Amino acid sequence: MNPRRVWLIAGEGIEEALHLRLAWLLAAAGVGLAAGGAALTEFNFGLEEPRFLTDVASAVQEFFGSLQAVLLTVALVHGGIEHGRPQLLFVRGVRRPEWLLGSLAAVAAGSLALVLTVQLVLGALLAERGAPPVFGALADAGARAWLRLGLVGGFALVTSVICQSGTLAAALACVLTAAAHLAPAARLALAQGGSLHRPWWMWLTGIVPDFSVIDGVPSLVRAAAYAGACSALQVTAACLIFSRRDL
Amino acid sequence: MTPARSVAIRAESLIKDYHPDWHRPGRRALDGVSFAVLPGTVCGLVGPNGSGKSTTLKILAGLVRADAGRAEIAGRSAADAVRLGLVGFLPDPPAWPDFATAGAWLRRLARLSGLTKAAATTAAEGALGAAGLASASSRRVGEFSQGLRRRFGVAQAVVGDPAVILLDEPGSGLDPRALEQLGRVLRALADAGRTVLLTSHLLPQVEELCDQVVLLGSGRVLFDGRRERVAAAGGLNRLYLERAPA
Repeated sequence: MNPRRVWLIAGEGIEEALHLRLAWLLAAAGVGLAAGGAALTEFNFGLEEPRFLTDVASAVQEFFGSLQAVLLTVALVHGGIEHGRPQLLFVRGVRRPEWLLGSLAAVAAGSLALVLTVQLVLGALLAERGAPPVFGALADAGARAWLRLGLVGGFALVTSVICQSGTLAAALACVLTAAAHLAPAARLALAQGGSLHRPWWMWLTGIVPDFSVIDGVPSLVRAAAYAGACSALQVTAACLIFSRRDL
Repeated sequence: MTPARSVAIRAESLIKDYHPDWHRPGRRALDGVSFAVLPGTVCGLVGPNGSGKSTTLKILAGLVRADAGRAEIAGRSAADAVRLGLVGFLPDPPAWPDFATAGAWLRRLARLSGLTKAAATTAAEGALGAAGLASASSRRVGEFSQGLRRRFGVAQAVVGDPAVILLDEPGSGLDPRALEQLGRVLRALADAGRTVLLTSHLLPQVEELCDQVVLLGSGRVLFDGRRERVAAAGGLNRLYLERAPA
């Protein structure tokens, strides 16, 4: 693995992402909705306004961030494979894991830009409403959101190298993302003897990372370690599958 | 048999099976393909659609793994040759980011090959010059005509000065003038010591340009000979119609 090549590929991926209108559209929708949170206060069922604004911002950040991470990864990786882009790079000595890792790094950079913008907008909104934001809390929430979005990109990386169709790759990544969000609820339901006895659901929630761990552990370092380990597993799985694929 | 060191490209009993998937049934793409190309020559790989031309090229470029047999570039395995920067490749269809300028994209490829920024700039300029595109460095690839795109494809294949250049359908979709320009570029590369292996359906172009012709059909070599042997057999068109399966 050559870090310089990964860096160059990530740079190329970021440049390509900047030319994708859909990535801009999703980012604009996410940031716009976060900024317009104050206009949604009639849907505030008894929450204090700062709390409500924070909830709206984190919800749109999660939703549009996940969509952006999935679609960007599918565009860069699946679209790249489909259009023969990696063929040009692999004959230059670029290794397949380097290309996958560089592409994922470009997606992570896109997610970071979205999270940072939403957190800045939220901070400005809170300050304007006389509830000065706590920088540490915003940074902590933003960092955890970014870790989750990185794992969402990892799901899309795996599905992009497996699926022959980009639509299927994106849909499967969304299913895995939903399973990761719902895993704790599903486990709780199972523990309480709920009706979720289907083996496939247990299997699915068992193999996806548990997003509640990233929010649940008090230490950000431990959350990053958990997300990093899961991400490493995702990249390894994608590399193993992709290494066997003819281009 | 020619010694391994004296040939630029050697394919030896290559076998490749594509396994069935949801989209297509399985099939044998290559069934014992063997040929050798000497350094400094242009070799044309011709044959009907599905005869195994692109698969052969991709195996030599290290992009597809053969199930059996050996692919060598300058006496090394294809994978090692790629790692050492001995191979340039033009896929079909080529896929460049339309937003990038010609010079920027070539510099990026050169840097991925391990060159420094300064060396990459020199290599990119040299490659554009070799393809007759010296003045197009700052133009976006998306603005190129079909003919310029094909020549740009050759430029990206030669950036970094590889010893062997593999071109998949470099003349596809070109008008006669652009074809002639492309032929001149490829001949100049061979005269400069590079070995060019190209696939094509344009038999007159192959006959005029190539020093050696390999005719594939159903994954097998049906003919392998120098230009003189092609002429002695009545020309490439006749050879193709007589030997290639319908």
